[in-house]
Amino acid sequence: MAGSIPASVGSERPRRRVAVIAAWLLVALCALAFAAPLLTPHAPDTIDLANATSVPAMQGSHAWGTDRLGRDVFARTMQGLRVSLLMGLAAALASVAIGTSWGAIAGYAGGRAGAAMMRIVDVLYALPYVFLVIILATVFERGNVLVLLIAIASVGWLTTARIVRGQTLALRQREFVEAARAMGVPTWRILVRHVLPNVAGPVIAYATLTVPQMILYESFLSFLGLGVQEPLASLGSLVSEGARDMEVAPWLLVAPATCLAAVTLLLNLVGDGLRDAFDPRTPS
Amino acid sequence: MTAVTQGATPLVAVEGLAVRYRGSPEVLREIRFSVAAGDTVGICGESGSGKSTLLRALLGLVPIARGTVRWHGRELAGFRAADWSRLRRCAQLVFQDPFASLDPRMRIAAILAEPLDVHRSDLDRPARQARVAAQLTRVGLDANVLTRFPHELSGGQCQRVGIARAMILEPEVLVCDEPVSALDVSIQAQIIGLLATLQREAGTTLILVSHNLAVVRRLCRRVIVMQGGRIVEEGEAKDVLSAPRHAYTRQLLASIPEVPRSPPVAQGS
Repeated sequence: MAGSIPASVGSERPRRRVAVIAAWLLVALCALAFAAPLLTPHAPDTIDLANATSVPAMQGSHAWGTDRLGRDVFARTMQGLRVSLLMGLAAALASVAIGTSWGAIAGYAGGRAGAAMMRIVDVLYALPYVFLVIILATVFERGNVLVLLIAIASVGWLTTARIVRGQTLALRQREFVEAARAMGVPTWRILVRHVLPNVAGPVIAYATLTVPQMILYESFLSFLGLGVQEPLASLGSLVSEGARDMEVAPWLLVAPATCLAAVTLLLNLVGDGLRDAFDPRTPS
Repeated sequence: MTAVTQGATPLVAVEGLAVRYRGSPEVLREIRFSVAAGDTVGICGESGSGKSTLLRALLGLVPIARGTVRWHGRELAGFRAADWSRLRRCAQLVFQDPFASLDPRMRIAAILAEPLDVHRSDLDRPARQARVAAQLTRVGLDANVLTRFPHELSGGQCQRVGIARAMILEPEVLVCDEPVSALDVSIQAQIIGLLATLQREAGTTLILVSHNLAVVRRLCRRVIVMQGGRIVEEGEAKDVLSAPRHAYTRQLLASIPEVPRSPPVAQGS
């Protein structure tokens, strides 16, 4: 079939454009979340029973309505978005840092030590995530943000460790790493100067995909009531609250659920775009 | 290191060396030879004869199954951290694939400075930069390559970078693994010329692996011929290559049609 254009070629450019648009929308959403206190006169935790469960309206000061305690839904949703974004980002950073170090050391050490390190990853993979988190949440203070972060990150790093180990195993065979060894470059320096920069591409792309995953983990925990506690809200806890009042006040569910869907979708689109950009096999 | 026990201790001496990779038969068997300081030795043989493994065993980069490798009379098996550091400093390796041997994410300046960063922390930054610049001139590269990445250079330029990196510590011995076989024929002659000049100027010991007998004849005084993990013939290059005694050497010579008669000039221009 000489001269025929592979079907994938035509689809690459729109895909990249989608990722770029998603990145800009994400920036806009983050800006909205962090600028929200300036945009509304209501604090997210001000209780105003006189205006409880008011319907969203363009007139009046509660554009997205209020919940059953009269708290402004816009202010609360934006606060939830901030908490979810920060939690997701922090958990993703922690899991990427742990996973990258673990995977690089396991891959470069190889042999029994490397295999033992990866068996630990396998065991943690096999543990049911919810079970692990419930134990952590019961043993420690419920709703403690730090415990929550540790719980989320403790499952998040596993995939990164596997990816980095695979990449490192391949890199270890490359001549420039052998050149460094033959030159007497210390092992830690080979890892930092030669291995890590060469795995950075896939890791950055995967990290972007980790953020929405972490946001979903956190939301899931908050939905179960194991996450952030009142009066602090995350998108997950807001969805959980909204689901309770779905019949009488659907806007309490619609606002946080839409935000959650939007932010995870946008992050996934950006992550996919980055992964394609770093993958040398993707035609450019 | 320089202790003279009986006569001159050879720079490197190999005795009864055997190497095997996991789950495979021995790649090297009963290897025995020595290299005197300042000598130039070529190791020939077809691919799979164990040449490259021998180089790596010499430098302690692959585990030794049996036998000994001695540097300055000291056995590799008994090396301490300080001995390793000295070996890694005084023996430098040039690789076959000029692109693969340079880190794709590092600029040429960082690649050339790395041996100095590791072994010459006594030099300050300007002194190291001066050495990098001087080395670049020695291998015939322009200063503007310093800010480039390996993929922005040609194969010949990359190999010059590889040679500069190997020579920057002024090593006692330069170990080359097929240094020109990945290059264009016209570039091969330039790189061989460069290696010959550098070796002559610095008096560096040269251990070179090549399946190309013309390269060995041009650069080496002695030649070792390997087949199936053993040494089958050894001697002065001019004798072995003009009057081979072993059938395999004759076969090897005959299989390369363009081995020039004398004067030995590398193929290409």
